[in-house]
Amino acid sequence: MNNIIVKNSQLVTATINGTPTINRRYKFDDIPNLSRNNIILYGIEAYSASQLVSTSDGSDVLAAADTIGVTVTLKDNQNNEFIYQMPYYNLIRSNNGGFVILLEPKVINLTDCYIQINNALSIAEGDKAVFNFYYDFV
Amino acid sequence: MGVVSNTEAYFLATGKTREYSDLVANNCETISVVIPKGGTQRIYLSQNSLLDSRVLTAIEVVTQGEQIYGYNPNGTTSENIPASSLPLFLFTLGKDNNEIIKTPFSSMHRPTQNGKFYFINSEVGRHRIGDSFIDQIGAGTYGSYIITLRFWYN
Repeated sequence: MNNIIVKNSQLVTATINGTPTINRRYKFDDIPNLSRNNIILYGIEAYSASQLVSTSDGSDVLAAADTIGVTVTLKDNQNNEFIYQMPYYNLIRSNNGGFVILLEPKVINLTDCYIQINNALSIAEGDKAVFNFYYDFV
Repeated sequence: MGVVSNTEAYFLATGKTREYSDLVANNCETISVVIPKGGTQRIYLSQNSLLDSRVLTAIEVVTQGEQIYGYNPNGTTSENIPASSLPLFLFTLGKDNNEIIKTPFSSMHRPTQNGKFYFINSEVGRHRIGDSFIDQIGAGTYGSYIITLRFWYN
């Protein structure tokens, strides 16, 4: 039953701005206290609308059926893509028997991380990919 | 490049690269919250000095599927929220400056997560139950339903 211990967590989003376009990349939204290269990310979890209907600002979350059309790339503070195009679906906890995806802890460059649409499916403009970042301060 | 990075010192200080757990706790405390109305809202938890003075190890939310009824303050019972309502709710633990922020209920619901707990391991003095709150983020008429939160502690 090993699982992550949450030290700090915060919801992070990437917004589909404009008409959803295949192969287009959408950067993570800026969160000032997470985007100063001052946190170590050690776990990540993603959500579909089946787990979270909307973000705090009322935007729609990607539908469960759309999660298979999106990949996630995370960059560290050296701009290395240490997670490169991981399927969004795989980051949803309930798809992994309840396990959160654990990472080797990295200082991340939040606003250079991005999601990419590989198949637009029914993704709509303004939808958001939502993640819970599990992190510690450097 | 003005990068603030002290990764190696962090690893030396903590002695480990990541922490995980398979131990829950010896005790648990249930907090029942009556949802006052339908629709979007924020509901603060009542102060709980017992939990404030214990090491919290894990949190879970209980739905009708595991326990049909939760408790009202007067001792009577009402239905717990159904599992289908979980995507509408978020929980923020008042830890330091709310550092475990807006966790979706679905992450804290064990049946959804194949039995896995949501471990937090919060030391005494870092969390305040009375500063913790629940957000309902969408329309949904769950007024008078009960949110049952189970806190595991040592």
